[in-house]
Amino acid sequence: MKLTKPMKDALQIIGKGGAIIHLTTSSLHGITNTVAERFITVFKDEYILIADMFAQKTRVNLNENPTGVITLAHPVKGRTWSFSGATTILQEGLPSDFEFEGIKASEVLEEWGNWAEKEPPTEVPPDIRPPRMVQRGVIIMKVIEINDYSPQKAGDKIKT
Amino acid sequence: MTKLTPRQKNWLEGTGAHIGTASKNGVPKVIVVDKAIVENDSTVKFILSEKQKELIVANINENPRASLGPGGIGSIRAAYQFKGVASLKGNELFVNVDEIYSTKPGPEAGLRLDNLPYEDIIRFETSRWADDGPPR
Amino acid sequence: MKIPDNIVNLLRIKDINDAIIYFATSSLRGNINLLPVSLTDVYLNEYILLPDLFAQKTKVNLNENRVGVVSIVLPDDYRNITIEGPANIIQWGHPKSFRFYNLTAKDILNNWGVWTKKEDVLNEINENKPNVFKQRGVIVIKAETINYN
Repeated sequence: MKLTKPMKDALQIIGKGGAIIHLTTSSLHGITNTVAERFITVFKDEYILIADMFAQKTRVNLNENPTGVITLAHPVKGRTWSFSGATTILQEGLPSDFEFEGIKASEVLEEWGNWAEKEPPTEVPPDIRPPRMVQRGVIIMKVIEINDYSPQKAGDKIKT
Repeated sequence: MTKLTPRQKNWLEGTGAHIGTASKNGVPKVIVVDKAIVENDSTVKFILSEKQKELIVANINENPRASLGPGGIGSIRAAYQFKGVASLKGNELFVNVDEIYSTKPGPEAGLRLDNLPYEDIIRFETSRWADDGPPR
Repeated sequence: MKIPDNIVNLLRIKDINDAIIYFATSSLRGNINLLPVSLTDVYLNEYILLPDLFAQKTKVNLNENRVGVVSIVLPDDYRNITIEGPANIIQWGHPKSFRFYNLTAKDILNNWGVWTKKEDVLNEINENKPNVFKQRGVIVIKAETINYN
């Protein structure tokens, strides 16, 4: 489903006014993994992209269970959103015609395959800046459902 | 027996966590709670709203494993992931942590910490971060 | 311990289509992973080196249980040999002074951090040529036990 302008504003790097998010994935048997991600953007209004630099268990999970949940983590500022949908990793080296949920891997990787060059993390303080960024691909979610996660409305669907 | 460090406790208590649960077939559901209390060195307690509880109760009943990523500004500075066994008592969610990982971007991303000697975990933290928890 | 010359020769960088080995690691709970590896080298006759081409389950295992086993079949008599010992990944981003026994990150990354400088991995004659070569670091195994199976 299509994301709104405020959602797109939130789902980008902090330097551009966006937020850190948590990506939760699960093994087929229900072992979840929840990690913070900062290199994020929205692609074609309904896909969320995350640079794949250090993912390990996320990757193991997505390899067997291609689904995920993204929750906005900081700064939240009332944006208590949870996005869920089909999720996979578009990796450098995939066949040029590889498609995921209507998107060609090549067009995503062409634009976002070298994130550090496109959006250098200059705003990140030295003690939390990644030392060297070798990117292997892009994690992509096609957003299928958006929910509120605030305590009083947890689970309520958000329409866009 | 896993033992959270003072820094880990301070961050969890100060910023709460994004809590990942899943059905036994791996369908994930996440709730976000902005406060926590750490009991007995390794049990993290969260107070849930009715709706938060409704969202995860079925998952916890069929699959008690849960993952915690510190919330708020902790998502940046508290580069940890905690995993453990969850249980519900009324509106209280208890997660008994039995795995702790570093999620610091770089070569230490994914490093398991809880199996190191306690002094080594403290050394790991103090050599990487100057703070001992969220700003007060 | 020193690795015997015939095994060193087998594992050393030579022809791009030489020996394939398996590298086994395990989670703390015993979940084992076998990684097939066609690129290998030996340093100081004691350390086996493999490029880390984003081997995720290997990394997950080594993150909590820093031991590994290299399994080789000798070409002459098809005998299986396993070499066990402490294992780790020396990764881009480690400080130069990071140590693993007698190895430093500086030494290992300067020499093996870009494997394509050592071996013509992307040449068409490589039977295991990857479409894209992205190296995160170097997997190192210190030989401590050698079993002739």
